[in-house]
Amino acid sequence: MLLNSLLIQIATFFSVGKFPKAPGTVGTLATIPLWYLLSQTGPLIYMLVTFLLFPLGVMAAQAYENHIGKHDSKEIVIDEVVGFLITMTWLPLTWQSVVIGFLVFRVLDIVKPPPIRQLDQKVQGGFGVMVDDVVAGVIGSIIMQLIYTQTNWLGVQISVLTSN
Amino acid sequence: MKTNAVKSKSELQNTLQSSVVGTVRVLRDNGLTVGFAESCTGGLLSSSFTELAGVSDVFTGSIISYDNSVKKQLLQVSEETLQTRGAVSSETAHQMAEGALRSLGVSIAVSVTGIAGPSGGTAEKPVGTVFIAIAGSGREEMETHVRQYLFAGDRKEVQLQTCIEAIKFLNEFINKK
Repeated sequence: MLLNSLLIQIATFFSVGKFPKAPGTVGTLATIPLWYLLSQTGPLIYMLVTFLLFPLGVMAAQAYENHIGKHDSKEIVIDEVVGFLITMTWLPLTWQSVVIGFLVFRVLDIVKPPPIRQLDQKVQGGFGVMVDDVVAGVIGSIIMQLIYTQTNWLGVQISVLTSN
Repeated sequence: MKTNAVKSKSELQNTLQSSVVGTVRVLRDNGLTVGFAESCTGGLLSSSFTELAGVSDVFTGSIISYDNSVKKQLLQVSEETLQTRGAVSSETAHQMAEGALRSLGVSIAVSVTGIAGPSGGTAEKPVGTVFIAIAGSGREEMETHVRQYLFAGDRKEVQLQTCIEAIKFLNEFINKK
C-alpha cells in the first residue's frame, strides 16, 4: 500500500504532473535541478541512476494507470523526467546545455517524429507510457552529443580547483 | 557564468588575438614578464603572443611539453604525479606552472594541459577537459591557482578556447595582484 502510493507519487514526479498547463513541459523543467545534482556525480553514476529510473518509471506509470483507470494520463511525467535525463547525459554543466537540451527534448516529445509517434500509439501500459519518451531521449542524446562534439555552442564549464 | 557564445573558429581566433592585445598592455604597464608551459595547445598560446610586434619585453619564452618526458625533464613534474594522477590533472598543471616559473625565470607562468580530442577521453576526463594553472607572486607570497575547464567543439576549437580562457585567467590573476 505504502509502495503503491509512493509509485503514484513518482508517476507524477511528486505532483508536478498535476500542474494545469503543459504538464510535460513543466515536468521537464522540474527535472533540471535533478539533472544538476546528478551531473555532479560524474557520467557513470548519472547513467546508472537514469538506467534504474526506467523500470521504476514503468512500475510507477502502471500503478498510476491502475489507480485512475486511464492510459497515458497527462499527469504522468516520470516519462519526461527519464527522457530528459537521457537527452542530457554526458554534457557539460552550462546554461547553454540545459537550454538547448530542453528545446531538443521538448520538440522531439511534442512533434513525435517516427518511430516515437508509432511507439506512443501502439505500446500500452506503463511500458507504453515510458518507451516513447525513452526513445525521444535517446534521439535527443544523439543530437546533443553531435552538437557537443562538433560545435562549441554548449559553452565552457569552469571549476576552480585549488588556490594557495 | 563565464562562457563563450556561439562562435566559429575565425571568431574564436579574433577573440583570442584581441584579448592578447589588452593583456600585453597590462603586463607592460605592470613591468611583468610571462611564459607558458603548453601541452595540448602545442604553442598556440605562445604564438598568439608572438603575433604581436614588440612583445618581447613581456613574453620571454615557453616550454612546449607534449610528451611526459619533457614535462619531467624541463618542468620538474614528478614521475609519481604523472603515474598516479595522469598528465591531464590539476596536480600536473600545478607542477607545470611552477616548473615553468623556475625554468623560464618569469614573473608569471601559465600552464595548460588537457584532452583536445577527438580521442583520448575517459568517463572521468572527457574530451574537452583542460586544466589551466597560474603560478606567480601574488599579493604577499607565491601563489598557484588551478582551474578545470570542460570545452565543447572539435580539436581546434578546444585549443582556441583554451588559449582564450588562459588569457582571461591570466588577466584575473594580474588584476588581483
